Amino acid sequence: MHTSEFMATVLGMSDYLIEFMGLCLAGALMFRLLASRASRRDQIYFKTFARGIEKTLDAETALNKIDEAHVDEWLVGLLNRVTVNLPNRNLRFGKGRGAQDRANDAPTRFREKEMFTEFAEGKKSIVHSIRGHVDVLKSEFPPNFGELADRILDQDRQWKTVAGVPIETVSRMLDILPGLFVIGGILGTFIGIATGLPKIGMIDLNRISESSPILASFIDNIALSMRTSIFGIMFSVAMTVLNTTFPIHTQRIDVEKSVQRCLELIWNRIHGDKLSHADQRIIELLEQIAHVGAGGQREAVAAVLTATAPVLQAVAAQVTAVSAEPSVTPIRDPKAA
Amino acid sequence: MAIPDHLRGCPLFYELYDEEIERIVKYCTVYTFEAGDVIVKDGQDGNEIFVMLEGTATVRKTTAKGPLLIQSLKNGDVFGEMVLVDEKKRSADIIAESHSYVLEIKYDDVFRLFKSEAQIFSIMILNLSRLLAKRLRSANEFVLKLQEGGK
Repeated sequence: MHTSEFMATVLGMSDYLIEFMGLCLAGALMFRLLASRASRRDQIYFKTFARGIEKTLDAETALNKIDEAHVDEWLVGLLNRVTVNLPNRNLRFGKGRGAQDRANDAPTRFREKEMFTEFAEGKKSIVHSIRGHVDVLKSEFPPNFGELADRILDQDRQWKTVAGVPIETVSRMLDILPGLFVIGGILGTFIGIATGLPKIGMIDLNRISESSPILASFIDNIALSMRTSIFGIMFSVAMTVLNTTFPIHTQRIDVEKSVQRCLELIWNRIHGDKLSHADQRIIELLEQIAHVGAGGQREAVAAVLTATAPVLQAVAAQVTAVSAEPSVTPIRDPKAA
Repeated sequence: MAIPDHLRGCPLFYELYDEEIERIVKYCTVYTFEAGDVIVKDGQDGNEIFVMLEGTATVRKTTAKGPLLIQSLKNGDVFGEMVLVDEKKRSADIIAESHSYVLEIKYDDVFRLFKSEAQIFSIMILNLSRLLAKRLRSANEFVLKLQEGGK
Protein backbone atom coordinates (compact mmCIF):
# COMPACT_ATOMS: atom_id res chain seq x y z
CA MET A 1 0.00 0.00 0.00
CA HIS A 2 1.39 3.41 -0.95
CA THR A 3 1.79 6.12 1.67
CA SER A 4 -0.89 8.23 0.01
CA GLU A 5 -3.37 5.31 0.04
CA PHE A 6 -2.58 4.61 3.66
CA MET A 7 -3.11 8.26 4.54
CA ALA A 8 -6.41 8.27 2.65
CA THR A 9 -7.55 5.20 4.61
CA VAL A 10 -6.55 6.81 7.91
CA LEU A 11 -8.30 10.04 6.97
CA GLY A 12 -11.40 8.08 5.93
CA MET A 13 -11.45 6.25 9.25
CA SER A 14 -11.10 9.49 11.15
CA ASP A 15 -14.66 10.39 10.09
CA TYR A 16 -15.84 7.66 12.47
CA LEU A 17 -13.50 8.50 15.34
CA ILE A 18 -16.26 9.88 17.59
CA GLU A 19 -18.44 6.83 16.99
CA PHE A 20 -15.46 4.56 17.70
CA MET A 21 -14.71 6.38 20.95
CA GLY A 22 -18.40 6.16 21.86
CA LEU A 23 -18.33 2.39 21.31
CA CYS A 24 -15.21 2.11 23.49
CA LEU A 25 -16.97 4.09 26.22
CA ALA A 26 -20.06 1.84 26.00
CA GLY A 27 -17.85 -1.29 26.17
CA ALA A 28 -15.92 0.12 29.11
CA LEU A 29 -19.15 0.95 30.94
CA MET A 30 -20.47 -2.56 30.31
CA PHE A 31 -17.28 -4.19 31.62
CA ARG A 32 -17.30 -1.83 34.59
CA LEU A 33 -20.87 -2.83 35.41
CA LEU A 34 -20.07 -6.54 35.06
CA ALA A 35 -16.91 -6.18 37.17
CA SER A 36 -18.81 -4.30 39.83
CA ARG A 37 -21.57 -6.94 40.00
CA ALA A 38 -19.06 -9.78 40.04
CA SER A 39 -17.04 -8.10 42.80
CA ARG A 40 -20.20 -7.65 44.84
CA ARG A 41 -21.10 -11.34 44.48
CA ASP A 42 -17.55 -12.32 45.39
CA GLN A 43 -17.65 -9.98 48.37
CA ILE A 44 -20.79 -11.68 49.73
CA TYR A 45 -19.30 -15.13 49.18
CA PHE A 46 -15.82 -14.56 50.61
CA LYS A 47 -16.92 -12.36 53.52
CA THR A 48 -19.57 -14.86 54.56
CA PHE A 49 -16.88 -17.53 54.46
CA ALA A 50 -14.50 -15.40 56.55
CA ARG A 51 -17.24 -14.62 59.08
CA GLY A 52 -18.11 -18.33 59.22
CA ILE A 53 -14.49 -19.20 60.02
CA GLU A 54 -14.37 -16.54 62.75
CA LYS A 55 -17.62 -17.72 64.34
CA THR A 56 -16.67 -21.38 64.19
CA LEU A 57 -13.24 -20.72 65.71
CA ASP A 58 -14.76 -18.54 68.42
CA ALA A 59 -17.15 -21.34 69.32
CA GLU A 60 -14.31 -23.82 69.80
CA THR A 61 -13.60 -24.43 73.45
CA ALA A 62 -10.33 -26.38 73.22
CA LEU A 63 -7.58 -23.94 72.30
CA ASN A 64 -4.54 -26.18 72.60
CA LYS A 65 -2.14 -26.54 69.69
CA ILE A 66 -3.32 -28.96 67.00
CA ASP A 67 -1.03 -31.90 66.41
CA GLU A 68 0.61 -31.61 62.97
CA ALA A 69 -0.60 -35.10 62.02
CA HIS A 70 -4.20 -34.03 62.60
CA VAL A 71 -4.07 -30.60 60.98
CA ASP A 72 -5.48 -31.88 57.66
CA GLU A 73 -8.36 -33.62 59.38
CA TRP A 74 -9.10 -30.61 61.60
CA LEU A 75 -8.95 -28.22 58.65
CA VAL A 76 -11.29 -30.38 56.54
CA GLY A 77 -13.75 -30.53 59.45
CA LEU A 78 -13.60 -26.78 59.98
CA LEU A 79 -13.99 -25.96 56.29
CA ASN A 80 -16.85 -28.42 55.88
CA ARG A 81 -18.70 -26.92 58.86
CA VAL A 82 -18.31 -23.44 57.40
CA THR A 83 -19.16 -24.41 53.81
CA VAL A 84 -22.58 -25.68 54.85
CA ASN A 85 -23.58 -22.12 55.76
CA LEU A 86 -22.17 -20.43 52.68
CA PRO A 87 -24.59 -18.62 50.36
CA ASN A 88 -26.30 -20.69 47.70
CA ARG A 89 -23.77 -21.42 44.99
CA ASN A 90 -26.26 -20.27 42.34
CA LEU A 91 -25.60 -16.74 43.50
CA ARG A 92 -22.09 -17.00 42.05
CA PHE A 93 -22.52 -19.97 39.79
CA GLY A 94 -25.41 -21.24 37.72
CA LYS A 95 -26.05 -24.88 36.89
CA GLY A 96 -23.46 -26.30 34.54
CA ARG A 97 -24.32 -27.56 31.08
CA GLY A 98 -25.42 -31.14 31.00
CA ALA A 99 -26.40 -31.35 34.67
CA GLN A 100 -29.95 -32.22 33.75
CA ASP A 101 -29.00 -34.54 30.88
CA ARG A 102 -27.33 -36.93 33.27
CA ALA A 103 -29.75 -36.68 36.13
CA ASN A 104 -31.15 -40.15 35.74
CA ASP A 105 -28.13 -42.28 34.91
CA ALA A 106 -26.30 -42.29 38.23
CA PRO A 107 -24.11 -45.37 38.79
CA THR A 108 -25.34 -46.10 42.27
CA ARG A 109 -26.90 -44.68 45.40
CA PHE A 110 -25.44 -41.34 46.39
CA ARG A 111 -26.26 -38.47 48.76
CA GLU A 112 -25.67 -35.54 46.46
CA LYS A 113 -24.75 -34.97 42.86
CA GLU A 114 -23.20 -31.97 41.12
CA MET A 115 -21.23 -31.12 38.01
CA PHE A 116 -17.46 -30.94 38.47
CA THR A 117 -17.46 -27.24 37.54
CA GLU A 118 -19.94 -26.62 40.35
CA PHE A 119 -17.83 -28.68 42.72
CA ALA A 120 -14.61 -26.85 41.82
CA GLU A 121 -15.94 -23.34 41.20
CA GLY A 122 -19.03 -23.27 43.36
CA LYS A 123 -19.26 -22.64 47.04
CA LYS A 124 -16.38 -25.02 47.77
CA SER A 125 -13.83 -23.27 45.55
CA ILE A 126 -12.15 -21.46 48.43
CA VAL A 127 -12.12 -24.67 50.45
CA HIS A 128 -10.12 -26.44 47.74
CA SER A 129 -7.74 -23.49 47.49
CA ILE A 130 -7.13 -23.35 51.25
CA ARG A 131 -6.65 -27.10 51.45
CA GLY A 132 -4.07 -26.80 48.68
CA HIS A 133 -2.04 -24.52 50.95
CA VAL A 134 -2.32 -26.58 54.13
CA ASP A 135 1.46 -27.06 54.27
CA VAL A 136 1.96 -23.30 54.52
CA LEU A 137 -0.55 -23.15 57.37
CA LYS A 138 1.26 -25.99 59.15
CA SER A 139 4.52 -24.06 59.16
CA GLU A 140 5.75 -22.90 62.58
CA PHE A 141 6.71 -19.56 61.10
CA PRO A 142 3.84 -17.25 60.23
CA PRO A 143 3.60 -16.88 56.44
CA ASN A 144 3.01 -13.61 54.60
CA PHE A 145 -0.76 -13.75 54.93
CA GLY A 146 -1.39 -11.03 52.35
CA GLU A 147 0.53 -12.96 49.71
CA LEU A 148 -1.11 -16.23 50.77
CA ALA A 149 -4.57 -14.65 50.48
CA ASP A 150 -3.64 -13.41 46.98
CA ARG A 151 -2.49 -16.88 45.95
CA ILE A 152 -5.67 -18.50 47.28
CA LEU A 153 -7.95 -15.95 45.63
CA ASP A 154 -6.03 -16.23 42.36
CA GLN A 155 -7.11 -19.87 42.09
CA ASP A 156 -10.73 -18.79 41.86
CA ARG A 157 -11.57 -18.18 38.22
CA GLN A 158 -14.61 -16.08 39.01
CA TRP A 159 -12.45 -13.84 41.17
CA LYS A 160 -9.83 -13.50 38.44
CA THR A 161 -12.03 -12.92 35.41
CA VAL A 162 -15.06 -10.97 34.33
CA ALA A 163 -16.93 -12.24 31.26
CA GLY A 164 -13.89 -14.41 30.48
CA VAL A 165 -11.46 -11.45 30.50
CA PRO A 166 -8.87 -11.22 33.31
CA ILE A 167 -10.10 -8.57 35.73
CA GLU A 168 -6.59 -7.10 36.01
CA THR A 169 -6.64 -6.41 32.26
CA VAL A 170 -10.11 -4.86 32.51
CA SER A 171 -9.01 -2.73 35.43
CA ARG A 172 -5.86 -1.53 33.65
CA MET A 173 -7.82 -0.75 30.48
CA LEU A 174 -10.38 1.26 32.47
CA ASP A 175 -7.53 3.18 34.09
CA ILE A 176 -5.85 4.13 30.80
CA LEU A 177 -9.04 4.75 28.82
CA PRO A 178 -9.50 8.43 29.90
CA GLY A 179 -6.02 9.17 28.58
CA LEU A 180 -6.73 7.30 25.36
CA PHE A 181 -9.92 9.32 24.81
CA VAL A 182 -7.98 12.58 25.08
CA ILE A 183 -5.32 11.25 22.68
CA GLY A 184 -8.08 10.11 20.28
CA GLY A 185 -9.67 13.58 20.42
CA ILE A 186 -6.37 15.32 19.72
CA LEU A 187 -5.61 12.86 16.91
CA GLY A 188 -9.00 13.65 15.34
CA THR A 189 -8.23 17.36 15.56
CA PHE A 190 -4.89 16.98 13.84
CA ILE A 191 -6.36 14.74 11.15
CA GLY A 192 -9.13 17.28 10.53
CA ILE A 193 -6.65 20.13 10.22
CA ALA A 194 -4.32 18.03 8.04
CA THR A 195 -7.24 17.22 5.75
CA GLY A 196 -8.52 20.78 5.61
CA LEU A 197 -5.31 22.75 5.14
CA PRO A 198 -4.52 21.58 1.57
CA LYS A 199 -7.92 22.89 0.52
CA ILE A 200 -6.90 26.39 1.54
CA GLY A 201 -4.20 26.22 -1.13
CA MET A 202 -6.89 25.63 -3.75
CA ILE A 203 -8.53 29.02 -3.11
CA ASP A 204 -7.98 31.50 -5.92
CA LEU A 205 -7.55 34.84 -4.19
CA ASN A 206 -8.48 36.70 -7.40
CA ARG A 207 -11.87 34.93 -7.52
CA ILE A 208 -12.68 34.74 -3.85
CA SER A 209 -16.43 34.68 -4.37
CA GLU A 210 -16.16 31.37 -6.34
CA SER A 211 -14.13 29.79 -3.54
CA SER A 212 -16.96 29.62 -1.03
CA PRO A 213 -17.51 25.79 -1.41
CA ILE A 214 -13.82 25.21 -0.66
CA LEU A 215 -14.03 27.45 2.39
CA ALA A 216 -17.20 25.67 3.54
CA SER A 217 -15.49 22.27 3.19
CA PHE A 218 -12.46 23.56 5.13
CA ILE A 219 -14.68 24.87 7.91
CA ASP A 220 -16.50 21.50 8.03
CA ASN A 221 -13.18 19.72 8.49
CA ILE A 222 -12.10 22.10 11.23
CA ALA A 223 -15.49 21.74 12.98
CA LEU A 224 -15.20 17.95 12.87
CA SER A 225 -11.70 18.12 14.25
CA MET A 226 -12.89 20.30 17.11
CA ARG A 227 -15.82 17.96 17.80
CA THR A 228 -13.50 14.96 18.19
CA SER A 229 -11.51 16.88 20.79
CA ILE A 230 -14.65 17.94 22.63
CA PHE A 231 -16.05 14.38 22.67
CA GLY A 232 -12.67 12.98 23.64
CA ILE A 233 -12.46 15.31 26.62
CA MET A 234 -16.10 14.62 27.60
CA PHE A 235 -15.60 10.83 27.47
CA SER A 236 -12.36 11.18 29.40
CA VAL A 237 -14.02 13.25 32.13
CA ALA A 238 -16.90 10.76 32.39
CA MET A 239 -14.54 7.79 32.73
CA THR A 240 -12.28 9.60 35.20
CA VAL A 241 -15.25 10.52 37.39
CA LEU A 242 -16.52 6.91 37.31
CA ASN A 243 -13.07 5.47 38.03
CA THR A 244 -12.63 7.82 40.96
CA THR A 245 -16.13 7.53 42.39
CA PHE A 246 -16.64 3.79 42.02
CA PRO A 247 -13.20 2.15 41.97
CA ILE A 248 -13.27 -1.61 41.39
CA HIS A 249 -10.26 -2.04 43.69
CA THR A 250 -12.06 -1.06 46.88
CA GLN A 251 -14.36 -4.07 47.05
CA ARG A 252 -11.54 -6.39 46.04
CA ILE A 253 -9.15 -5.06 48.68
CA ASP A 254 -11.93 -5.49 51.25
CA VAL A 255 -12.33 -9.14 50.24
CA GLU A 256 -8.56 -9.73 50.25
CA LYS A 257 -8.33 -8.36 53.79
CA SER A 258 -11.19 -10.61 54.96
CA VAL A 259 -9.53 -13.71 53.52
CA GLN A 260 -6.17 -12.63 54.97
CA ARG A 261 -7.70 -12.20 58.43
CA CYS A 262 -9.40 -15.57 58.13
CA LEU A 263 -6.10 -17.27 57.21
CA GLU A 264 -4.39 -15.59 60.17
CA LEU A 265 -7.09 -16.95 62.46
CA ILE A 266 -6.68 -20.46 61.06
CA TRP A 267 -2.88 -20.32 61.41
CA ASN A 268 -3.14 -18.98 64.97
CA ARG A 269 -5.62 -21.71 65.86
CA ILE A 270 -3.47 -24.46 64.37
CA HIS A 271 -0.54 -23.25 66.44
CA GLY A 272 -2.50 -22.99 69.68
CA ASP A 273 -3.31 -19.28 69.38
CA LYS A 274 0.34 -18.46 69.82
CA LEU A 275 1.82 -15.07 69.09
CA SER A 276 4.93 -14.43 67.07
CA HIS A 277 8.24 -14.48 68.95
CA ALA A 278 8.61 -10.68 68.82
CA ASP A 279 5.02 -10.13 70.06
CA GLN A 280 5.58 -12.55 72.95
CA ARG A 281 8.84 -10.84 73.91
CA ILE A 282 7.21 -7.40 73.85
CA ILE A 283 4.33 -8.58 76.05
CA GLU A 284 6.73 -10.17 78.54
CA LEU A 285 8.74 -6.97 78.76
CA LEU A 286 5.64 -4.80 79.13
CA GLU A 287 4.44 -7.06 81.93
CA GLN A 288 7.81 -6.67 83.63
CA ILE A 289 7.60 -2.88 83.26
CA ALA A 290 4.14 -2.86 84.80
CA HIS A 291 5.33 -5.10 87.62
CA VAL A 292 8.43 -3.14 88.57
CA GLY A 293 6.71 0.20 87.90
CA ALA A 294 4.20 -0.66 90.58
CA GLY A 295 7.03 -1.27 93.04
CA GLY A 296 8.62 2.10 92.24
CA GLN A 297 12.04 0.63 91.43
CA ARG A 298 13.58 3.14 89.04
CA GLU A 299 16.72 1.19 88.31
CA ALA A 300 14.77 -1.91 87.46
CA VAL A 301 12.52 0.09 85.13
CA ALA A 302 15.55 1.58 83.43
CA ALA A 303 17.07 -1.89 83.05
CA VAL A 304 13.88 -3.29 81.49
CA LEU A 305 13.59 -0.31 79.13
CA THR A 306 17.22 -0.84 78.10
CA ALA A 307 16.43 -4.48 77.43
CA THR A 308 13.32 -3.51 75.43
CA ALA A 309 15.15 -1.14 73.13
CA PRO A 310 16.98 -3.78 70.98
CA VAL A 311 13.80 -5.80 70.53
CA LEU A 312 11.84 -2.76 69.43
CA GLN A 313 14.69 -1.73 67.14
CA ALA A 314 14.75 -5.22 65.63
CA VAL A 315 10.97 -5.11 65.09
CA ALA A 316 11.28 -1.64 63.50
CA ALA A 317 14.08 -2.90 61.23
CA GLN A 318 11.95 -5.88 60.17
CA VAL A 319 8.96 -3.65 59.44
CA THR A 320 11.17 -1.31 57.37
CA ALA A 321 12.66 -4.25 55.47
CA VAL A 322 9.25 -5.74 54.75
CA SER A 323 7.77 -2.44 53.58
CA ALA A 324 10.82 -1.83 51.35
CA GLU A 325 10.42 -5.18 49.63
CA PRO A 326 8.95 -4.96 46.12
CA SER A 327 5.70 -6.83 45.61
CA VAL A 328 6.70 -10.20 44.24
CA THR A 329 4.55 -12.25 41.94
CA PRO A 330 4.64 -15.80 43.28
CA ILE A 331 6.34 -18.27 41.03
CA ARG A 332 3.62 -20.58 39.85
CA ASP A 333 3.67 -24.18 39.08
CA PRO A 334 4.29 -24.38 35.32
CA LYS A 335 1.20 -26.61 35.15
CA ALA A 336 -0.93 -23.79 36.50
CA ALA A 337 0.41 -21.34 33.89
CA MET B 1 -11.23 -23.35 37.50
CA ALA B 2 -9.56 -24.39 40.71
CA ILE B 3 -8.49 -27.95 40.01
CA PRO B 4 -8.32 -29.74 43.39
CA ASP B 5 -4.78 -30.86 44.20
CA HIS B 6 -5.88 -34.48 44.52
CA LEU B 7 -7.03 -34.38 40.93
CA ARG B 8 -3.70 -32.93 39.80
CA GLY B 9 -1.91 -35.74 41.60
CA CYS B 10 -4.22 -38.42 40.24
CA PRO B 11 -2.19 -41.02 38.26
CA LEU B 12 -4.66 -40.79 35.37
CA PHE B 13 -3.74 -37.13 34.80
CA TYR B 14 0.07 -37.25 35.07
CA GLU B 15 1.79 -34.96 32.56
CA LEU B 16 -1.41 -33.12 31.72
CA TYR B 17 -1.73 -29.37 32.14
CA ASP B 18 -4.46 -27.93 34.35
CA GLU B 19 -6.31 -26.65 31.28
CA GLU B 20 -6.25 -30.12 29.77
CA ILE B 21 -7.51 -31.74 32.98
CA GLU B 22 -10.22 -29.09 33.04
CA ARG B 23 -11.30 -29.94 29.49
CA ILE B 24 -11.64 -33.61 30.46
CA VAL B 25 -13.51 -33.20 33.73
CA LYS B 26 -15.50 -30.03 32.99
CA TYR B 27 -18.75 -31.82 32.30
CA CYS B 28 -18.17 -34.78 34.61
CA THR B 29 -20.19 -35.37 37.75
CA VAL B 30 -19.16 -35.38 41.40
CA TYR B 31 -21.10 -37.65 43.78
CA THR B 32 -21.21 -37.33 47.55
CA PHE B 33 -21.24 -40.48 49.70
CA GLU B 34 -21.39 -41.03 53.43
CA ALA B 35 -19.56 -43.72 55.40
CA GLY B 36 -21.02 -47.15 54.59
CA ASP B 37 -22.53 -46.15 51.23
CA VAL B 38 -21.86 -48.55 48.36
CA ILE B 39 -20.10 -46.62 45.59
CA VAL B 40 -19.70 -49.58 43.22
CA LYS B 41 -21.38 -52.96 43.52
CA ASP B 42 -19.77 -56.24 42.49
CA GLY B 43 -21.31 -57.59 39.26
CA GLN B 44 -22.95 -54.29 38.37
CA ASP B 45 -22.69 -53.05 34.78
CA GLY B 46 -20.59 -49.94 34.43
CA ASN B 47 -19.19 -47.62 31.81
CA GLU B 48 -17.44 -45.09 33.97
CA ILE B 49 -14.23 -44.68 35.93
CA PHE B 50 -14.01 -42.91 39.26
CA VAL B 51 -11.53 -40.68 41.04
CA MET B 52 -11.65 -40.26 44.80
CA LEU B 53 -11.58 -36.48 45.19
CA GLU B 54 -11.90 -36.49 48.94
CA GLY B 55 -12.46 -39.15 51.58
CA THR B 56 -11.60 -42.84 51.93
CA ALA B 57 -13.12 -46.10 50.70
CA THR B 58 -12.33 -49.79 50.69
CA VAL B 59 -12.36 -52.34 47.88
CA ARG B 60 -13.97 -55.59 49.09
CA LYS B 61 -14.73 -58.91 47.50
CA THR B 62 -17.29 -61.29 48.91
CA THR B 63 -15.88 -64.81 49.16
CA ALA B 64 -17.17 -68.08 50.53
CA LYS B 65 -15.30 -67.29 53.75
CA GLY B 66 -16.82 -63.82 54.01
CA PRO B 67 -15.88 -60.33 52.81
CA LEU B 68 -12.22 -59.91 51.88
CA LEU B 69 -10.55 -56.48 52.05
CA ILE B 70 -8.53 -56.04 48.88
CA GLN B 71 -7.41 -52.43 49.01
CA SER B 72 -8.00 -49.07 50.67
CA LEU B 73 -8.63 -46.01 48.54
CA LYS B 74 -7.66 -42.47 49.48
CA ASN B 75 -7.65 -39.00 47.94
CA GLY B 76 -6.65 -39.00 44.28
CA ASP B 77 -6.95 -42.77 43.77
CA VAL B 78 -8.56 -44.09 40.59
CA PHE B 79 -10.92 -47.04 40.56
CA GLY B 80 -13.20 -48.76 38.08
CA GLU B 81 -10.64 -48.14 35.33
CA MET B 82 -10.91 -51.70 33.96
CA VAL B 83 -14.03 -50.73 32.01
CA LEU B 84 -11.83 -48.57 29.82
CA VAL B 85 -9.96 -51.64 28.68
CA ASP B 86 -12.39 -54.50 28.35
CA GLU B 87 -14.51 -55.27 31.36
CA LYS B 88 -18.05 -54.08 31.52
CA LYS B 89 -18.92 -55.59 34.87
CA ARG B 90 -17.57 -54.45 38.22
CA SER B 91 -15.37 -56.99 39.90
CA ALA B 92 -15.60 -55.89 43.56
CA ASP B 93 -17.60 -53.81 46.00
CA ILE B 94 -16.30 -50.35 46.80
CA ILE B 95 -17.63 -48.93 50.03
CA ALA B 96 -17.16 -45.40 51.36
CA GLU B 97 -15.41 -45.28 54.73
CA SER B 98 -15.96 -41.57 55.36
CA HIS B 99 -17.74 -38.56 53.87
CA SER B 100 -16.46 -38.76 50.30
CA TYR B 101 -16.57 -36.90 47.01
CA VAL B 102 -16.15 -39.12 43.98
CA LEU B 103 -15.63 -37.85 40.43
CA GLU B 104 -17.26 -39.94 37.73
CA ILE B 105 -15.70 -39.92 34.25
CA LYS B 106 -17.77 -41.63 31.57
CA TYR B 107 -16.20 -44.07 29.14
CA ASP B 108 -17.64 -41.97 26.31
CA ASP B 109 -16.06 -38.78 27.70
CA VAL B 110 -12.61 -40.39 27.52
CA PHE B 111 -13.04 -41.90 24.08
CA ARG B 112 -14.48 -38.69 22.69
CA LEU B 113 -11.01 -37.24 23.26
CA PHE B 114 -9.62 -39.57 20.59
CA LYS B 115 -11.00 -37.30 17.87
CA SER B 116 -10.98 -33.91 19.53
CA GLU B 117 -7.87 -34.07 21.74
CA ALA B 118 -5.70 -36.90 20.44
CA GLN B 119 -2.64 -35.81 22.45
CA ILE B 120 -4.55 -35.75 25.73
CA PHE B 121 -6.16 -39.07 24.88
CA SER B 122 -2.74 -40.64 24.23
CA ILE B 123 -1.32 -39.39 27.53
CA MET B 124 -4.38 -40.62 29.42
CA ILE B 125 -4.17 -44.06 27.87
CA LEU B 126 -0.43 -44.15 28.62
CA ASN B 127 -1.20 -43.23 32.23
CA LEU B 128 -3.87 -45.90 32.35
CA SER B 129 -1.38 -48.46 31.01
CA ARG B 130 1.12 -47.43 33.70
CA LEU B 131 -1.57 -47.77 36.34
CA LEU B 132 -2.61 -51.22 35.16
CA ALA B 133 1.04 -52.33 34.87
CA LYS B 134 1.64 -51.22 38.43
CA ARG B 135 -1.38 -53.13 39.65
CA LEU B 136 -0.35 -56.20 37.65
CA ARG B 137 3.11 -56.07 39.21
CA SER B 138 1.56 -55.83 42.69
CA ALA B 139 -0.72 -58.77 41.87
CA ASN B 140 2.29 -60.80 40.65
CA GLU B 141 4.17 -60.07 43.86
CA PHE B 142 1.11 -61.07 45.86
CA VAL B 143 0.75 -64.36 43.96
CA LEU B 144 4.46 -65.04 44.48
CA LYS B 145 4.10 -64.47 48.20
CA LEU B 146 1.10 -66.77 48.30
CA GLN B 147 3.02 -69.47 46.43
CA GLU B 148 6.02 -69.11 48.73
CA GLY B 149 3.67 -69.30 51.72
CA GLY B 150 2.09 -72.47 50.28
CA LYS B 151 5.41 -74.22 49.99
